Amino acid sequence: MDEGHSSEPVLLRIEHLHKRFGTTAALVDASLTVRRGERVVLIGSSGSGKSTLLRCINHLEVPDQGSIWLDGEFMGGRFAADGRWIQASGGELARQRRHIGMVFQSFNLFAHLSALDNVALGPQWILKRPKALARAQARQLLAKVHLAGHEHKLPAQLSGGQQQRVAIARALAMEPKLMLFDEPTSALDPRLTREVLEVMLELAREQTTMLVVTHELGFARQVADTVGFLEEGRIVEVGTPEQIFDRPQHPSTQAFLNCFSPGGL
Amino acid sequence: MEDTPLLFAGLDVRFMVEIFPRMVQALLVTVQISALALLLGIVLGIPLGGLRVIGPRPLQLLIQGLVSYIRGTPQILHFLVVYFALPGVGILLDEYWTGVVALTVIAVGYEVEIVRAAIESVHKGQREAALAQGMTEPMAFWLILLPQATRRMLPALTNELINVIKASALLSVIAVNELTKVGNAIIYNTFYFVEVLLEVAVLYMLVIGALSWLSNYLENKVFSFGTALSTPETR
Ligand SMILES: Nc1ncnc2c1ncn2[C@@H]1O[C@H](COP(=O)(O)OP(=O)(O)O)[C@@H](O)[C@H]1O
Ligand SMILES: [Mg+2]
Repeated sequence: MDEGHSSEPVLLRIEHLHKRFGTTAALVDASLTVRRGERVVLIGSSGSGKSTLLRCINHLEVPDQGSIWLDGEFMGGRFAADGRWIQASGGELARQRRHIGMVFQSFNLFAHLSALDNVALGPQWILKRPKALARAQARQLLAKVHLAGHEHKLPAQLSGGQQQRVAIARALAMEPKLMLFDEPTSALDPRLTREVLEVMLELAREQTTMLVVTHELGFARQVADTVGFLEEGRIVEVGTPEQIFDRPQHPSTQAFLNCFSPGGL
Repeated sequence: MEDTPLLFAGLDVRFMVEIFPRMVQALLVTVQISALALLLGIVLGIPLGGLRVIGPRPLQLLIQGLVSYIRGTPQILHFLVVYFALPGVGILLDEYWTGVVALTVIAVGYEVEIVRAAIESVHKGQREAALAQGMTEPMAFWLILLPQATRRMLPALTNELINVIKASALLSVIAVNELTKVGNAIIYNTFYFVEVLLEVAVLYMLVIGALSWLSNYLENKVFSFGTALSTPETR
């Protein structure tokens, strides 16, 4: 955190987050801070709670306990003057979610809409932009993710890598303050993974605030300002890429990273 | 000569031809009234089916209860309820519209379930992506879930039209001039019951057969988005 972002204001603050599914503790006392322009990568083995953490941030899962502030605003509700907690209405929650772009492992493009409509739909219906403007901006965003010429195609007609890039463009179209990526390349072969990572690298260069869950450690080392390691719902270690990858302190982090090193198998 | 019966396999064919125009007329009433009920059923069934899935819990239970009542009781009951209850609350409809309303009640009971099943068959990632982007639940329903579900509903709705057409025969008890009633009336006046019933059955079968074919066709051929709906593609 002694990087260039330490002077930037905090954009996302997560404090003491807990989430259970039945008897499974998916998140245990998780706290994390993301500053504006910062790129944070979360790593950890499958089932360690990484997706749950991202999904709690935009309230796709409602946390059991703990608090999330985005740009100074409490997610999911607010405290009244007399200290009572007031749950956010559907409309308020939707408004808060606009500021958080989310990219899913399984793309989740709107299956009945063309690439262009996937990107233009949000600005047109949620931000109430004129249709022509929304479509023109969508065209630019598709070009930005190297998909000019594919505007009219349905998701099923695109490769996985292309679908994921459309999904990134769709999230960017809402001009979010924060981008969440949940294993965006885990469903892709190495070549398609590269196309997607290249787009993400470009976003990182543009100082997009990103919180990325990934197993691409090369990518993490290259773009991350901060790396966090999760195990069994806990964020057990946070540091710079050098600290985490070269001098991990926690035994679990060491064990996890050993699986990735050339002699690890 | 004119009145000499033209017999074929013991049936009076001349008589069957003579009544054919009236029967077709009655069949049109049957189809019209059924289609109307199906349409009204859709207009009500889509919002009710949607609320059944994404609405507040008490409303979900209420809709579920309504559906259970409609589907769990004999269809004739709905005709009687509509026939006697609507005038009781000051709504006076002629037989035709009484029939439409009663058939709509029956249709809605099934269409809510058709809509619900179709909505729930849309991959849950679609709704999550919509919400994550900042859509409200109703927006996600109208813009994302319903358009995808509609294509899956069409075969089931065609099937439902078949059920409504069969149920419409019950309208004969409240004197709507649909196929069964007209057939009955002709039998009552002429006693040509074999000829009339045969003709009634064939006409029903023609329409229902055509709809079955359409339902299968829709099921197999049209409307699919390929593989993107369920699993991520790694190609
Ligand atoms: N909707 C859910 N219902 C029940 N258990 C869940 C659900 N989502 C996640 N879990 C459980 O919570 C734990 C953390 O899951 P997840 O956040 O998906 O981990 P990760 O993304 O790191 O693989 C796992 O044990 C998982 O089985
Ligand atoms: Mg996950």
